[in-house]
Amino acid sequence: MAEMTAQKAQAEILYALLEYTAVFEKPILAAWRDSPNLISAVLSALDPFGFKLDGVECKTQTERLSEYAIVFRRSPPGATFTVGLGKLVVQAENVSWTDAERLITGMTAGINAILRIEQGEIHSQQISLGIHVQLKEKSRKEVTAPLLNPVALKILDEEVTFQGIILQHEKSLIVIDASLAYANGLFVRIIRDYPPDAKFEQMAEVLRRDEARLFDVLGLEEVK
Amino acid sequence: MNALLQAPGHLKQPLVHPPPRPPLAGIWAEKQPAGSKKPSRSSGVFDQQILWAAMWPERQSAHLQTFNREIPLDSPTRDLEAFYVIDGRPAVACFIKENRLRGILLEAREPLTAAFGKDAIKTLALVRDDEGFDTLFCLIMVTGDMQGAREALRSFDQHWWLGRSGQIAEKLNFDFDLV
Repeated sequence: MAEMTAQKAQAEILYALLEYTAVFEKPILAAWRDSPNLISAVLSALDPFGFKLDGVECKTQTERLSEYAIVFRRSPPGATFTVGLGKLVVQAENVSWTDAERLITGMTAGINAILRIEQGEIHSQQISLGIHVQLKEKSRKEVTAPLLNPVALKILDEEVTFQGIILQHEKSLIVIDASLAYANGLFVRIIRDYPPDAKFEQMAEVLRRDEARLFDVLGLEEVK
Repeated sequence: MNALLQAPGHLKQPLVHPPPRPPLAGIWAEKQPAGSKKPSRSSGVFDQQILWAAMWPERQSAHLQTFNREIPLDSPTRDLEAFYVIDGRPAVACFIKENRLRGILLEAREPLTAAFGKDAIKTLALVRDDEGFDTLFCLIMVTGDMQGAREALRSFDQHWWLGRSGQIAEKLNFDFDLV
């Protein structure tokens, strides 16, 4: 029997930014009042992951309290842990799935260190993944063409150079756009909201499935 | 029922005084964390930079910092990434640096587009000959017929490449690949 599997187009993930945001139930004012203790606790928790005193920045030169932040930067660069009064944000660049467990351990340690000081609670969580995917052979216009109903192409009379999509769900969202950074690249952002009790392991697993499904729907095969 | 009443918040036109940002609304207008400092305004359908700045002007500077973060400033492939697909990035980057090819590759963007069109994929890849010498090839993927592709390459050669190839022809070459 003839091979029925459609040929997958080769694609490389050139850049990925994972962002985790936890919004606190109430501003963690007590922790900020004792910021030396906060810094010490977070540094102790994150030290095994490469976060040192040299990478700590206090951003307080702003009139808005909501913009106050203590930023912990890892060395070598690639990850930041930012504590504000109302939320904390963890960003990690180019994390591979093999590093997921280590990242989860680090994030958990850092967050627990803050919540211990404040006796605080998390109100909501959000995971966002932004990736730039470069297509090696097929054009991005070709790859994304099946996502759009041809009727939409009639709206304007010029030739379409690229088509992207935005899909908004109840607690998630995906954007597929042309990459502004890489030739023949796609920019994809996946965002999911979670309740306060969701575990990192669950969120990571869902994200992993999202990424796999994205490649599958677009007919892409990842090359390293 | 009026469809506008059902439209999600993020599809509204940017307001002069934007409303408070709901958790997921408007995310499509947010940052693309990436490399080039001044991306083409028309590259992305959702043109994240412009809309992001329009809706949340107070966060524009932070956004631009994020934007400029990914490709190291000393990377020999900076500014090339938005135009060329790079096959075997570390080796190609090293070869471009060693042979100082960045300038001519930047210069080649306009004549390549003029000859082959802006939609053609241009791939940079190292090719090693039988004697072990490497050459950086810019392979332009051309759809259509052989005759048209040859014409495009001839035009590129005559109008631009032949006048510059003298000293670097052993290190850099341009060819097409019919797909």
